Amino acid sequence: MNVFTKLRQALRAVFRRNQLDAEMAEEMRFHREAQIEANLAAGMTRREALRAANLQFGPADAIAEEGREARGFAWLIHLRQDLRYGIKMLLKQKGFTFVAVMTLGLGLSANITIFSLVDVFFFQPLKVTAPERLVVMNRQNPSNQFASMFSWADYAAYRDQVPGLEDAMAVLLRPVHLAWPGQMPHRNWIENVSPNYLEALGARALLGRTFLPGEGEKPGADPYIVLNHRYWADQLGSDPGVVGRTVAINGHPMEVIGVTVPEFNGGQWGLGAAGWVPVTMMPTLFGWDESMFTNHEWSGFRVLAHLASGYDEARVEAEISVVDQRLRELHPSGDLDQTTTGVVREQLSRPDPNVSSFMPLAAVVFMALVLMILLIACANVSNLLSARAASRQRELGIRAAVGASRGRLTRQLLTESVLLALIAGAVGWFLSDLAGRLLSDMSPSGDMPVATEAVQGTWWILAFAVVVSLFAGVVTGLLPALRATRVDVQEILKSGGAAGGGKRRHWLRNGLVISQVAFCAIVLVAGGLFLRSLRQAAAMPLGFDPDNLAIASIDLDLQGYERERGRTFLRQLQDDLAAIPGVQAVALSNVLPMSNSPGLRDVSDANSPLIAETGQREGMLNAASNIVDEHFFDTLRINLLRGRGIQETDTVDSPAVVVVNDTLARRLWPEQDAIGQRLTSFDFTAEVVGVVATGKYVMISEEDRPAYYRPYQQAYNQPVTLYLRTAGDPAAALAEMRRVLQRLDPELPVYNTSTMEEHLRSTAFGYLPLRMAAYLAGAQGLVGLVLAVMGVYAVVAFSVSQRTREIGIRLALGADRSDVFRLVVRGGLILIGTGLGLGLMVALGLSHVLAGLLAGLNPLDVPVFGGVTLLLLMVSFLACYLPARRAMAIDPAITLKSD
Amino acid sequence: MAKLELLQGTLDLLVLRVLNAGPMHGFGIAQKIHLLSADALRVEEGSLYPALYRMERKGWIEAEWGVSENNRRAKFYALTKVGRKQLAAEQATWERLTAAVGQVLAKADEA
Repeated sequence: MNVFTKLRQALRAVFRRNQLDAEMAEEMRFHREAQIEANLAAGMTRREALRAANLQFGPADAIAEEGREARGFAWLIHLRQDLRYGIKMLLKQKGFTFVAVMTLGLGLSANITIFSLVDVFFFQPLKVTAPERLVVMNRQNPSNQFASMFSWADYAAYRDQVPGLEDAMAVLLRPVHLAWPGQMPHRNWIENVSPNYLEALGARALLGRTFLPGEGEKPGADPYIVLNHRYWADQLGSDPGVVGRTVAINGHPMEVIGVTVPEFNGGQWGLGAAGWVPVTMMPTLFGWDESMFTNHEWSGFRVLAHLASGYDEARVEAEISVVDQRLRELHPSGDLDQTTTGVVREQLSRPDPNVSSFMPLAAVVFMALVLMILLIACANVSNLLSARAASRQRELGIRAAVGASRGRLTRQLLTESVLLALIAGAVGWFLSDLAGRLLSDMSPSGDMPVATEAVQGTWWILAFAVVVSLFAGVVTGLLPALRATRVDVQEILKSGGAAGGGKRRHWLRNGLVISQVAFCAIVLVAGGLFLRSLRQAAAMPLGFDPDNLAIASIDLDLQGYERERGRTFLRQLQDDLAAIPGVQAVALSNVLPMSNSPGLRDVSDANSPLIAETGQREGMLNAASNIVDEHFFDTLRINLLRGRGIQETDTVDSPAVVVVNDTLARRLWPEQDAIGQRLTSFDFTAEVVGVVATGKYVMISEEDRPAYYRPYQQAYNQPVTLYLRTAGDPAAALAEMRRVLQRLDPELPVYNTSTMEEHLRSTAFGYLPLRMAAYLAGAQGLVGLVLAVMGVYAVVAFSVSQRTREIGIRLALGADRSDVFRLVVRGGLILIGTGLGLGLMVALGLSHVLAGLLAGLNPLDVPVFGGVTLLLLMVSFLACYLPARRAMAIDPAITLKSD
Repeated sequence: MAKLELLQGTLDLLVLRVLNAGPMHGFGIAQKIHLLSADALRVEEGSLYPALYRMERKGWIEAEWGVSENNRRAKFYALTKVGRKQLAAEQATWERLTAAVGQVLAKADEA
């Protein structure tokens, strides 16, 4: 039989059911009557003939039911019936429906929201050619937490010598000052790319063109920029005549040759540059030597490629290690010895290969937490459904009596709960859309051009929402349905439909409450731990005092200031800033702590022996570096432990000096005084004149990290960040600071203008990740708490209503009302206590896992565990209190009479 | 008179065989089986109609409303081409089965 006949039959079965049923009834009537006639013909009396026919024929309804099923597509007909019936039931009990939908909706929305986040982070492919084959090269140095970047020369070696890497691309993101004719320059970031970059990633031009073959091969030859659609729309108001115009980048004229299509946003997830220029323009734009293309030490490029067909990571890495070996022999002084080079799938490298290994674990923890919330919600609604199914025993009994099978009844009840869950899913979808919009606003601030994908509903998330709703519907409905349909027809019909009780049902309900409280405890503990970790991180000594500090950064190099003019400008600037009322001190440094330019350098004791093969020194240490002026330590209130700080007399003409932190001093010169020792890196050697306290430099959660400071006069560098220590609110000084900068150079772009406290709060290297985690977990915990309390209340209230008679008798026999109160509350508290105990045990295991993730977290955090216990006990007591009050108010006379 | 239980699956075969002689309504099919088996087999209506609908769905038989011997409206079932093939196949299977069972019964003591 072909598909069409089948389809026609199905449609007929569903939509012409009534006609088919009527025909079936007529057919059977004919049969019965023919049987009667036959019986009469055989000589029975009319009465006997009728009786015999009836006996033979059996229950017509049951036959009709079986006949319908044999007709095929019964499930379709049933589904239609069940849906109709289900909708009728849900509409009939509006209060129940509302509570159930909202409960499940909350649980589902939490799941959809978290899943959307996970989706954005891990599953959304970049909108580039063959995103599934896109890999990021990764060179990891075990001595520091950061992956090192690649030199152009190394990139060229991989590109030419590793067949497994197709379209190897190099890209270097750099800040620049962009000046459109007739407008002030502004700071933004561009990607300096290998000539094949746009082509290989499949970037098409909306206006103009991208790079042509042959462009970007010769240094300085192609002063062209392709603009990012986002920049063009936001900054240029989608100017249709932009192609052919000239923009000054760091003062050098560059021609706009095209604008990309809106979908394209480069090859690095989460970042959005203003545009793309050929890498060959870098010496021009930044005043660098062309040796940057041949020097293996000049690193800074991120390398991307497509895996060639037939290659996986391991096979490519084998080829890479051969090339690495060759590079090591040719250029022994490179940093290859210390590192291993590999490839990571782009989707697994987010947001950055450095932290990507930690991301999946975090995602799993969050998904597990929200699934628990969903299970709490399911348990609650399951409970409600059980209670309702008990009141529907009679209805179910009657349907069973007229021939509905158990499976059929179960299906009816399941249809109702799935229907409920789907409505709840729609509510959850709507709520998560709201939540997603709130979350999108919480993107990290900072100098980097962040372009987080908006958390939005894609078909993929919609599919997840539907699946998880169906799952919730089945989980919610299955137990009550199985329980309710285990009906003894005779019993129900005889008893007139009184709700069947029994120990079993009791256990189910109690079990649900116990697990709910347990889940809730787990989720709350996790939320508490995140909050604690945030508090602890905030309390962790930064090594400086972030209060009452205003900051702003400038880059004089990008504005074309040569060194001497820069010095003069900065001196004038500091004098003018110091004159602002309320400003107590002004300092400057090269690196802003916890920003995206960590300034990590390898250093060693100048006397430690050279290793002949590598040209490097023994005992090399990776340290945070900074270049600071003589006011820096005072202004930031960094503790000087020994020796002296940087002084005004540390000039270009005086001996090179350096101040180190305690950690560096102890690591390089254990059991010796660091003062007077000589520290060296590849471009300087200086005498240690002071030791300061260790603080935080790159990330808020870092372990003690070695660090050193060089005097600004001896190591002039750009950009610089200015720090203003104010007497009062530092925000007030910001406007003044802008005015001063504006007066000294109206064309100089300023960035990072904020208070230090705000900077730490909102940068991705500061408290932001912890804040997000704490918010998410906190919100999850709250939802879980609300759900658990509802569950406890429902169960205690239900048991009171079931035990009304028993309580009435107790009271009649002279029980004190306070005894009744205690009885009810004790019953509730036993359940809660059991759930709490179980939950806390699991939470303890979870907190051990989290302790590995979060800095400074004690796995057995007494305040969190104690607080959650207390909170749950208090709230649960309240949930028991109201039903208990009602039990106390029971009038024995009325309850006893009512039977 | 002793009543025989129908073996699983034999109802289909009987119905197909009866209809092979020409279209017939449900009551007629039941009667005919009853008569042909010399009153040994009685088809329950509760099994007959579901079986008919099932076979109709499978395309072995088709149904049409007509007029019965006593001038009443009745639904007549007739074999289709597929049904004829099915009958041949089931009949062959049945014969092989009975022959095999018979053989076992006859010769079980000899071995």
